[in-house]
Amino acid sequence: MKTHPGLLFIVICLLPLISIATLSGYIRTYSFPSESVLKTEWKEKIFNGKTEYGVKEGFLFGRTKENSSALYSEVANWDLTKNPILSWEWRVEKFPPRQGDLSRQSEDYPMRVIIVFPARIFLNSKAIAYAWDPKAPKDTIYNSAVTKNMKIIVAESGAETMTWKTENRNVLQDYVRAFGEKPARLPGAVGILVDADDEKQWSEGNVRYVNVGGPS
Amino acid sequence: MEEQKQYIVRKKYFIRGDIQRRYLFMIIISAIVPAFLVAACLYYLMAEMMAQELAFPDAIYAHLVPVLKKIGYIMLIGLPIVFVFIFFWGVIISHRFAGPIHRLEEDLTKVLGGDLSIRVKFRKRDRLDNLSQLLNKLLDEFARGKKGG
Repeated sequence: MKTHPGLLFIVICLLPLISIATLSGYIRTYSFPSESVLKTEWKEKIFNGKTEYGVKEGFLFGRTKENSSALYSEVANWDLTKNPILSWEWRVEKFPPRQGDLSRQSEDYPMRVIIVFPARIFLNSKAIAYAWDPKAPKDTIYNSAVTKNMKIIVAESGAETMTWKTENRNVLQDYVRAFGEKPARLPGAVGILVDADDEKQWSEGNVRYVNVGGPS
Repeated sequence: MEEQKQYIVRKKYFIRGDIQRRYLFMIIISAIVPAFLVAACLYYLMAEMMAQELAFPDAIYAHLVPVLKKIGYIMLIGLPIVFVFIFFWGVIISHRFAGPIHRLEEDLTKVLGGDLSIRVKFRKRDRLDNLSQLLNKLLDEFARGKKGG
C-alpha cells in the first residue's frame, strides 16, 4: 500500500501533540519549564490582592506577604474511579507564623494544591485542599474556616523548609474520607494557592510539577 | 358653535364591584411576576458568573455569599415598598379601565329606569370622547323615539 506523503507529513507534525500526560499514564501533567506556562495553562483567581507567582529553575514559586490569589486550571474528563491519583512535588520556602493550635484562626499556607468539584448550584461546589502544615499531623482533615464545602487535608507535616517532597494522593479516597460520600460530579479544576492574607506575614512555596489523574 | 364638552372628575379610586378587582389583580400579577422572574434570573446569573470567577468554594463563601446576603437583606426591605407602589399604581390603572365601564353601567341603568335626560360623560383622561358622543346620539334618538312614540 502506498502512503500519501502529505498524510505522512501531517502524522509526523501531530506526533509531538500526543501529550506527555498520555504517555506518563496521567490524564494531565503540569510542569513549569518557563514563565509562559503561567499564561497558557493557568488562570489567576484573585481573592485578596495578588500573590506573586513566577517560574525559576524549572519550578513554580509563589510568594506573598498579605495577599491571596490562586492559579487555576480546568481539567476535563477526570474519572476518579479509574484515575484517582494526584501527584506533585513541592517545598516550603517560608511558613507564615501560625497560631500554633488547631483553632483555625489562620488559614495561611505556603502552598496548597486544590481540587475543585463544581456543582450545578454553585453553593454546593466542593473542594479538597492539600496543605503542608508545620504542626498538624499528616492526614488531618479540617473544615475551611468559611465553609464545610472545602476540606483541608494535611498532605505533609513538619516545619522543615527548602526540602522537596513528593506526594501521591488518592483523591477519591480522600474525598470520601473528608465528605463521607463519593463525589457527585467529576473534578473540574486543579488549583495552586499561596496565601498570607490572614496573618499578613510572608508565605512562600514552590511546586515542581503537578500530575493529575494517574491510575491507582 | 361647538358643544362644550363636559367631563366628570375622579372622586373614588376604588369602585364597588368585581371589575376593578379583576383588573387590579391582573395588573399586579403582570407587573410583579415578570419583575420577580427577571430579578431572580439576573440575581442568579450574576451570582453564578461571580462564583465561576471565584471558582474555589472558600472564596465563594468568603467573598460572594456575604454580598448575596447583603443584597437579600436590601431586597427584603425594598421589595415590600416596591409592592406597595405597584399596588397603588395598579389601583390607578385599574380604575382607568374599570371606571368608564362602571360609569356606563350606572348611566344605562338610569336610562332603562326611565330617566331619558341622562347623557354619558367620561373623565377627560379616559379619552373616550368618541364613544360618549356616539352613545349620547343613540340616547338622543332613543329619547326622540320615546316621545314620538
